[in-house]
Amino acid sequence: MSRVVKILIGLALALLAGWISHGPLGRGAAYIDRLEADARTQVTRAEVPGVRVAMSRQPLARVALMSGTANDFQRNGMGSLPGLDGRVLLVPGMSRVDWEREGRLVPLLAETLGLTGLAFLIGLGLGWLIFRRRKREGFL
Amino acid sequence: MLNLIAYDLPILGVALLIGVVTARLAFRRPPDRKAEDVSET
Repeated sequence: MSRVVKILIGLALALLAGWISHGPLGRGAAYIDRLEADARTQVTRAEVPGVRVAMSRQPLARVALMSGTANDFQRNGMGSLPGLDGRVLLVPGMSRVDWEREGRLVPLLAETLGLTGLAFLIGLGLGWLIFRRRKREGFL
Repeated sequence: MLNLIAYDLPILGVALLIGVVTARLAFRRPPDRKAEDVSET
């Protein structure tokens, strides 16, 4: 089996592991649930009636979708006083806040698979440093 | 992003290990050969 085929099989295994963790094991949904709970806590603290927050579910993404009526000051704040957007963005792991679904989302699965592929490449590089064939130095 | 990396650390560790094992299989040194086969050809 050629070296390239082995590396491709290894990459496929790593990505498969990432997908299993995200989907069947439910870690992706659990992460989004946690972000949503933290975002709701922030919105509740802001005490703006009628405003709701939910995370993007189709696809799962680290994007908070806000709904309800809030004026510009309530949304964006002023000076050192954060608005709803700023408060929700303070949630660790939150990527973006949208009031109307706009632009393209980066799905959480894509982020997870990207990180998994990167980790695989780092491992491959480390393994190459350790296991590569060294040129012989001398005849003994 | 750092928060996501921290959350995904277990699976990233698995992927890193898969990478190391893949490198071991792809780049390992050939088994020792007899002296007459070791010429630099």
